Amino acid sequence: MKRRETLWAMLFLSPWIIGFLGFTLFPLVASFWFSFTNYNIVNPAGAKFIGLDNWDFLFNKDNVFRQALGNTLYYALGLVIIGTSTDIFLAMLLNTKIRGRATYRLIYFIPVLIPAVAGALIWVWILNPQRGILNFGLDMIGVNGPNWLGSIHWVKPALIMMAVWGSGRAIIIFLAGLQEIPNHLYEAARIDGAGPIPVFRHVTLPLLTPVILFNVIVGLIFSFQAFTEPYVMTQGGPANASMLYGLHLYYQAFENLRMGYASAMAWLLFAIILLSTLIVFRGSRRWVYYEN
Amino acid sequence: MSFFRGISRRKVIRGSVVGTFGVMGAAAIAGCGETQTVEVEKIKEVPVDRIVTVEKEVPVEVEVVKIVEAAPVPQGPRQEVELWSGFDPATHGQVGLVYDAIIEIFNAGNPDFKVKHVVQPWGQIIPKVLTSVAAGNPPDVFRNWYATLGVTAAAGVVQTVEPFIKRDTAWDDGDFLEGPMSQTYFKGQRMAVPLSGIVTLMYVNKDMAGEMGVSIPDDLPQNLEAMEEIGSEMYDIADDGTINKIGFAPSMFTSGMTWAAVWGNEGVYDEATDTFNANTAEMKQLLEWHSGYGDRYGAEELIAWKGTYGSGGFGRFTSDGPLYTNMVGMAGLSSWWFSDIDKQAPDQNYVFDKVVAPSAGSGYRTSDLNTNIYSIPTGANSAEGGWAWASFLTSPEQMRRKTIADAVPAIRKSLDTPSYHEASPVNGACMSKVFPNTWHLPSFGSYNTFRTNLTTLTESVMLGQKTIDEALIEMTDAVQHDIDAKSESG
Repeated sequence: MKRRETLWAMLFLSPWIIGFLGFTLFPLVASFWFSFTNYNIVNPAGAKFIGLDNWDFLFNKDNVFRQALGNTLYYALGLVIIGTSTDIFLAMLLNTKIRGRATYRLIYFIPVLIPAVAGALIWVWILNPQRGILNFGLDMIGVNGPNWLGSIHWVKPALIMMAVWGSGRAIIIFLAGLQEIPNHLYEAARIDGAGPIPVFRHVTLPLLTPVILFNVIVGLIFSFQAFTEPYVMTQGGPANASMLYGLHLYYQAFENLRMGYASAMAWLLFAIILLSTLIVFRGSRRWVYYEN
Repeated sequence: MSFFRGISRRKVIRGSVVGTFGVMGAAAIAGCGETQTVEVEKIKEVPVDRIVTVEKEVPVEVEVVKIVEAAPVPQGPRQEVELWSGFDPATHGQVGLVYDAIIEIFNAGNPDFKVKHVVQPWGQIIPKVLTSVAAGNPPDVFRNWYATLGVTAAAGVVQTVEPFIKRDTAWDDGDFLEGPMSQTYFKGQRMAVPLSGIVTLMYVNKDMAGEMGVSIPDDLPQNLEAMEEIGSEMYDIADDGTINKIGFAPSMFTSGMTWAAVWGNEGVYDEATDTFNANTAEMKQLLEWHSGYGDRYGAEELIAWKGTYGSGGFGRFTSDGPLYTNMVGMAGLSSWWFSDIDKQAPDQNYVFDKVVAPSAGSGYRTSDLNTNIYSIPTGANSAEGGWAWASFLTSPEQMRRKTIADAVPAIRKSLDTPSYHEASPVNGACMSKVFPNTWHLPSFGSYNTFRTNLTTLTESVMLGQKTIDEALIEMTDAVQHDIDAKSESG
């Protein structure tokens, strides 16, 4: 009977297993092999083993790679730090008992539903230095807004700002985390005379740390792989200031047609993401509080 | 029947209407995707004796093509030929309409093939052709560029057209100009057919010059420094350094390759040995020249101006574009820009001439040359049909029609006639003044790597992030490595 059940289970699982093997595991293993070859997708038979040439070029000769890696680290750290802080703040606001709370929650989630390309095109207009609504608003309070996407200094903050706008999913997760915090802890703190800031610092924040850890890791993975926004909004410019890793990888694979080299880049990105995640995990022992 | 018992007729009708709108909405959303298929099928297929095309001159739009009677010939089923280009009539105005008209003429007259035009975003054509070839489902012919011929040919994405040329009795090699034809070769094999060749011309906006109190002589100066002097008088810079209006900035509008040609950098790539060396006196002069503009007007400000107005191809298809609203006094412009200026700013008073030589440089060329080509992908289902379209489009009659609408110079000698020059003065100037001395850099697999490095390293030098020597060594290493890597995979 058990054997029969196992067979049925395997039968129902097989579409996913076949898909995983064919579309995930095989490309994964193949791309690792390609990273040591000059594979160019059209002519697989012509791919030759070239040892560490791709890796040598990556580390020693590709200056755009170094710039792209620096830009991506800036973007990832900026987005995780600013994004997480903003998301917690907004989640707390949306957790308060105010009239029309559901509507506000919906409003903050709407950007998640907008296709990435459409969102990027909207932001191109928002950030336009002459006609954009952002600089118009800044101008009204006497601030001369920068050339967001045209300036080598402001383009990365502009991309981070846009990504923060679209982080409704993280807000929902924080909101769920906030609702999981037992009410009696707040009541006890208030009875002890704690004000809003001590309550946040000593009750809300510690109990939210597992959720923060989750969102930081997901945010890091997401930001290291960012592609659509710079591709649509800046194409990596000006002066490669918004050339993120994913964009450089794409150009190498699909415009320069060097799939082997792009595979090496992809594996390095995987290693960087894995390392960052491990560092965050290891560090989390010091700051994440699990109630049980 | 019991299911419908509780549903009124009104509800059924309302439901049907809502459902219909839902389907229409979904279709509309689907239609907004990045790939749009435009199948031209307006011709009523009735046998007639002849095909008559009527061409009408109108003041702004150069040429309107209408098929009055189409005559098809075809009695049996025709093979479908899938053509990929970015000529979307919805966004390309007259150019797109003329392109569609040429397709109609082809479909009306060809007994064997019928073109299905699939509009792709320009920037997506090469990546999509690559993946479709890898997947075994490529188009039959696609609009390619000389700049990407090398990389696509090196990767095996396109096939040689030599067998088709040999079989095609109507094909006249001798009628093509040498430069554009040379750019269809890759390692001795012809991999495409040339349609048109883009070169750069110097443009001066007399209206803006008038606004700035600068007088423009009837005959433009014949050395670059004197032209730059005029350009410098047309800048409008705010107190905080922000550039409101550009006089002349070489990093704007024009590919860096044009200025590389003007400063005599023909020797950077040696096709015979497949070697690249940017560490030359000419390249150093070029970067010093660019760097001077960064020092004078602020590199960050110039780059910021480009970032602000450069999106959407500097607003090519909107009348708000900076070239149409007197924000640019002088620029090196690709030849196709001029028809857009005529359409978007018909009252603008401008002059143009070839780009002139710097007195300090040597080996001057009037422009680089970028030939627009048509390629047949490897594994095309109907390579013969692809060739039929490509050879039809590049026939003298259709080439004339297409290039006049497009304002890029035709590349057949037989079109170098007074009537053609009169119909398109810009093309005429390109043919008589620019083409004879252009830089025909061969299409090699690392062309884009060279061009990208030239652009980014020029900006790095302007911003003071790199010295000229560092930039030149870096460019040489990057491009040569790319050449070596691709030659290994060949």
